[in-house]
Amino acid sequence: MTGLSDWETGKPYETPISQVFFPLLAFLFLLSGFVAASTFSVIKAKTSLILELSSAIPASLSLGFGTLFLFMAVGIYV
Amino acid sequence: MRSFCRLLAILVLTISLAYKTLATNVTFVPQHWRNTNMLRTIDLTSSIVRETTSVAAQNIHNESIGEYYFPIPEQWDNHLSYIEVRERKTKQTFEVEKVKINPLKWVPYSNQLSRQFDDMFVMQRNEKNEIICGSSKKFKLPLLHSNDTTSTCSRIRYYKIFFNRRLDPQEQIKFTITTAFTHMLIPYPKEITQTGRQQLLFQGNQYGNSAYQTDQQKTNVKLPSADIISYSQTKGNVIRNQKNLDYGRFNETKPNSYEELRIHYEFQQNMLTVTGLRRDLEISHWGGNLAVEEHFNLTHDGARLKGHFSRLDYHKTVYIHHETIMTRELTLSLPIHVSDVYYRDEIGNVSTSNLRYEQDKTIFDFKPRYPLFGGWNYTWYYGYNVPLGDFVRYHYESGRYILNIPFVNVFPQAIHDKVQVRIILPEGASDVKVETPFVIDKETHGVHKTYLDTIGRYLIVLEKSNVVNDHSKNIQISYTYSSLELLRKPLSVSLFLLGPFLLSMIYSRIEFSIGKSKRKTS
Repeated sequence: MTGLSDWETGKPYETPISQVFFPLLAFLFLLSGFVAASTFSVIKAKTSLILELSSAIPASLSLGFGTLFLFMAVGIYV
Repeated sequence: MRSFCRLLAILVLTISLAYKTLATNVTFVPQHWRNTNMLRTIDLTSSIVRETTSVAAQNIHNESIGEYYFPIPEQWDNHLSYIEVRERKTKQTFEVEKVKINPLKWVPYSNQLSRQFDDMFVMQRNEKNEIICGSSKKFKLPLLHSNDTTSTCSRIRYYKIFFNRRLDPQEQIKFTITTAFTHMLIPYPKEITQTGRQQLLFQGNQYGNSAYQTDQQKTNVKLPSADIISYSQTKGNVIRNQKNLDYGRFNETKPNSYEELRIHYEFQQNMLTVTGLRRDLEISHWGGNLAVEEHFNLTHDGARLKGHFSRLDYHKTVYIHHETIMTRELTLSLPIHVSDVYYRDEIGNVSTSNLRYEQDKTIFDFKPRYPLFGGWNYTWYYGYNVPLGDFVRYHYESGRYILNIPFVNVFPQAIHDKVQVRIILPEGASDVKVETPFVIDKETHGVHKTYLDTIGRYLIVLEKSNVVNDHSKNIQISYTYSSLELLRKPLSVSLFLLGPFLLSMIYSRIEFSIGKSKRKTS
């Protein structure tokens, strides 16, 4: 079918997460990421790899998502 | 057998070549139609010449045909921006195609042979019925090409109109051809003072463009004001009604007939030409936002300013500024639900602007940093954000997203010499298809890298020249984008941030001391 006919029968695009939540989510993700990163920094060096990774990976994940939502909240729609 | 005979005859024809004799007032197309009535309206109320021709044509051939040739002189065709043909009753649009011509000169060995080729060649003949030039419909033969520009073949360009049905002999059809031409009006005098009055010169044809015999026709010219300095007189009637000039009923005109139509009139409005326009559309699926940014290079193409700009005269004549061609303010229509509008130029932010929201659109009034006189330029860019749901919809059956947006958003009476529209789709978009209601000059697909990108975003660049307001129609771009691709961005940032953690883990496990480490014994 042509693009125009498909467009007319389509559903308007909606973001997966509503736009009003972006600043709040950014703050929460960055906060939890900061806490996890702090946890990583205080554990004794050369303890088991799994323990270190278990605080590094959640830290990087929440900091990553937090950065994305921070970009959105500021107005740079990436 | 028949095709072999034809081929042989063509070879005979090509062997018997001779130079042409100069011909005047001939037709290029087979005379299958006859225009019973033709009404032509030339709209000169803006800087774009809009010519609307209403034709009632009758099939005078002995079989049913569905093609009609419409001629446009070469000097006009170079400025043609827009052509559209519609049937008058049903408003159905007909397809229009430009005919490609290889002008050649040859005289047939015998006229009997030439008649056989009427359905294989579109031919032009002179008074002696010799073939002067033509193009083959089916074969691509190495016939002689001519660089002679005095031949009428090369001076008229033809457009073929395909009707949606074949018409029986003696059947009539009524349709309207709408054309828009740019850069056809010349300021005459070329230079005027700051408060001078602008006068334009229009040169055209009193008769309408027709490749066929016309029984009767009329030309009506609409002018922007009642101040007409001079206009062509004619053998027939010219009726002048305030702002209109009616070039009265011409009977039995031959195809491609020409009589100079020259009008010198006053035009106290600006003639804006945007020499370059770049329009960027950036789609963000995470933010649900469409960011639009437009870069303009504007020239005021009216009568140039004579001498220097005088600030004293400018302030003395404040009360008649609205009657001069000086441009102080410009207006653009933006879509509803816009936010974060910005207006900047090379120096920085320009504060002389105003935004007001209306029911169906948003009006953006803005003033350039300085008023524009004839020949002056101004460059700026502006942008805004629009919710993505207004323009992109998801089609469930095919699983594709479709963007439906106007090609350009232009000043209503401006001419755009070059337009470049860049559409940036999110990372991971694939199977991109572009649909436009008119022909685009150039379409390229590439990659654009910006914030938080890994593989780069899909970039489509559409370029078109000679654009007018009629081209601000919607184009559709459809693409496939899976929701998993949304995770690409945050995960790539997370991976990047994992780096320092891993680095510190590795650093704590590396021995940096030289020699064996001394162990404490006690």
